[in-house]
Amino acid sequence: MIILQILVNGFLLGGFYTLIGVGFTLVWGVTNIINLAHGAIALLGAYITYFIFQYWHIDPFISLPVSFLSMFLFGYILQRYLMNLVVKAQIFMLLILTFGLEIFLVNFMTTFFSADFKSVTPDYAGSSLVLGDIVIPYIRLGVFMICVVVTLIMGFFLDRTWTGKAIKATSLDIEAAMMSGINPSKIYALTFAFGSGLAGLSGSLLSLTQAFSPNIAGGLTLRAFIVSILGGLGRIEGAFLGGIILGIVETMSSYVIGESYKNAIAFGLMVLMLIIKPSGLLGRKYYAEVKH
Amino acid sequence: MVLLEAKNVAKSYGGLKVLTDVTFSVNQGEIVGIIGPNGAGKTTFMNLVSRLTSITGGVINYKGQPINNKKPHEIAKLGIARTFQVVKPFGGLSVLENVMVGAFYGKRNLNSKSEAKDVAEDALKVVGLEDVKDKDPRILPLAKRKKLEVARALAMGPDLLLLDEVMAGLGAKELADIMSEIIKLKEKGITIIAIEHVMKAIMGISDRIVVLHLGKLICEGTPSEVVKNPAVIEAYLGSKYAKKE
Amino acid sequence: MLNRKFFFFLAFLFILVLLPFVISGYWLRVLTQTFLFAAIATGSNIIIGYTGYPAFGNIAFFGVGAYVTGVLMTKYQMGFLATMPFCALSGIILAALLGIPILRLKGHYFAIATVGIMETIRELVDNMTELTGGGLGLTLPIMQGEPEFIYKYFYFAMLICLVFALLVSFIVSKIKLGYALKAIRVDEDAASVMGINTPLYKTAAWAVSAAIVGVCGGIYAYWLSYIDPHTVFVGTYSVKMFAMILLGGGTTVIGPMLGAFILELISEVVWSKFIAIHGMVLGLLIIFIILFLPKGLFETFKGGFSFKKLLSNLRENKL
Repeated sequence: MIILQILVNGFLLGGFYTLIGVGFTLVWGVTNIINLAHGAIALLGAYITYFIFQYWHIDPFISLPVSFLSMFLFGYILQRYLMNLVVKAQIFMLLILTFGLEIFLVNFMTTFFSADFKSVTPDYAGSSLVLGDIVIPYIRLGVFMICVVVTLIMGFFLDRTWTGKAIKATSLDIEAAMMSGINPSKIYALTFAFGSGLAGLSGSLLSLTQAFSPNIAGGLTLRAFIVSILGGLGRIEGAFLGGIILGIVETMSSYVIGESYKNAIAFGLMVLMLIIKPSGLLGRKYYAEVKH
Repeated sequence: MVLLEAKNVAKSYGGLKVLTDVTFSVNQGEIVGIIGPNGAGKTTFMNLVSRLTSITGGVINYKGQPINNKKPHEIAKLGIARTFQVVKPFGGLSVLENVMVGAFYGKRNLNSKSEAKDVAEDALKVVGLEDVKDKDPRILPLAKRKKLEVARALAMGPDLLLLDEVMAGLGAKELADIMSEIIKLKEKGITIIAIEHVMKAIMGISDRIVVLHLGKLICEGTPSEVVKNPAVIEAYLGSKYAKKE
Repeated sequence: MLNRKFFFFLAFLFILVLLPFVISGYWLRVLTQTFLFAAIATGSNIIIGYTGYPAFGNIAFFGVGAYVTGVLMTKYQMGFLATMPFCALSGIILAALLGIPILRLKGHYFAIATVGIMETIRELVDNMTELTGGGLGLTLPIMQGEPEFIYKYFYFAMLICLVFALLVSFIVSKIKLGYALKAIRVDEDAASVMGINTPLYKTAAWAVSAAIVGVCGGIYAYWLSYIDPHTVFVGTYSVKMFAMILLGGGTTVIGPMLGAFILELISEVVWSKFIAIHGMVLGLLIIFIILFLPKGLFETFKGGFSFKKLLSNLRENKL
């Protein structure tokens, strides 16, 4: 029965990976920007939740919108006033730009918040739902459900609302979108804002499930990256598939081979996908790259 | 002697059939023009010969041997050189150095820098670019860039030269220049296959013409034969005009 | 052809050779570290600048080289200099093996794959405790001699390494191989139809860069006398190396070296005055370089300095 528990754990973890992947893949698919600072932004969200909990004792689930909104705003400003400046440059330059940003943010957090591991532990942290032999901690369940709900909302937003459709249109053909009256720099900023908001949100959820410190930013970005590759760029459903797969693979291999090879396994999975089907499980030739 | 032979060549991308059952051959020393409305599959055919993409049906033989499974650089070493529709010179290398790449890595496979330099300089003379040999190719006007493409291919010492719309975008004088250069190449013994849209020019210099339309070969013959062929007229101008004949 | 520039370079080298006898231990250390990064940047430039494959995680070879020297010296009692060829060899073999799958990826995929490789190798090294000491690290035999002598030894060791890297980079750019690499950088398809065996040459370029970076790692290990996975497989070094190549220009032989000198010296000044925000400044510096100087200092200011030139990149690439 332990296999079942592992699967459940993997699934729950996968939900989290989905959320952190959705923001990343959206930005990548629409603006062709690989945001290496994604993990760092997620951690900013984690710290926001931590401080709100620490100083105002507000339940972390309730303060979620705060981290989402503040990172949303942060992302918007970042894109509109920094990244839009060089968006037309070689994709690779943007990569380094975001890396520079990551270094800045990680060091910023280390300087002002210290490198100590922190976590958010409300009173109900220990209790779990018990179904036969399977133990599901309530917090993890809550996190999972929020991830799923937000992902669905995101998908709905992109498909059904005008703004969402504008985002999709821009990703498919920026010139045509411009001629239809869509302002691409606003769309890019909006997309990036969503990406950051979702990152912040996932960071907040992370703070509930494990200890965090600025140094784990890279690992988070790597996971987001892998989920995007696995699922196909810009595809929300793809991120969901990719996230669950990564979660399960990671949990399984941790059990079989041990904790310490987690990154290696995750990375290996990604390389495998890149070699076999670079456009991801659900991806077609991804939107933004067709332009080149 | 047959240099290149295409037999039932087919290429499809998933469900999209780009080339179907294309069969024709090119004899040594000929200039063969490939024409056809846009989307006919001409550049795809060229990509198949230079192996930038792979054939999904049929076979292409060069000097009697199939080349379907070779890598692009092996094709080059066998003596096939090509130019590209959108010229992309190697920026960062001078015009001369660009051509030297061809001398080094083409069929000649030279290893000595000075030999490569000599071959490159000769190639530049043929196309009339010796005066800009030390310049950065990115600043050259279109016509000169096209000449550079030809010189690069020439330096490889090819037996077969594939020209992909080398005349596009050229003015009258430049066109005349390039036409005479192509004939010069033929006189040197190089077989040429040229994809073109500039009708008068390609009809003027080709020994034979192959017409592709929607991936199929619809006509093959001398320029004067092709021009009168109703299927060809229909492909370009529509059936209204074809019936006139 | 190279006369004036070459003369300046020799003069510069001459000064560097004389310096250790007049400056303090602190500056010796700073310069030694500068040479290290300059060598890493110059070597990595062969795959990054010349061939156009952004091997962001090239530091993987640095770490491997460090451990090769470390393990050979501690477990097999090999002499320091004897380990150097093994460092180079480790780089060549690793790059050749990894090149086959990884060099098929383009642009940023390749870059991230190389970072993943670096992280994975770090994790593996961390876990091979019996061989590498794992997380506890490896302590190398300490060199015999006076501190004065030791400082100078490593100064010259790194300097020689740098000169070696420059030499290799220079030779590659001038021979037949150099032409192929530059063609590959611009247009890989066009290069292959001209007869260039692109997979082979890309791998060769990567292997050469890996060999140089590996040797740097080996020297580093002996210099510090202690290494552990987190001090040699450092992502920040990768970024620094990149910023150096960008700053100095990736198409020339000495560009990366100049970028290294500038960046290291700025780094050093900031470090000593504002230790706490060193990392943040590095991040900001990189952002600055991307925004304003992506073609490198020298390319941007070719005709002379002006603020307008700084902004030209923004104008070109603004949305």
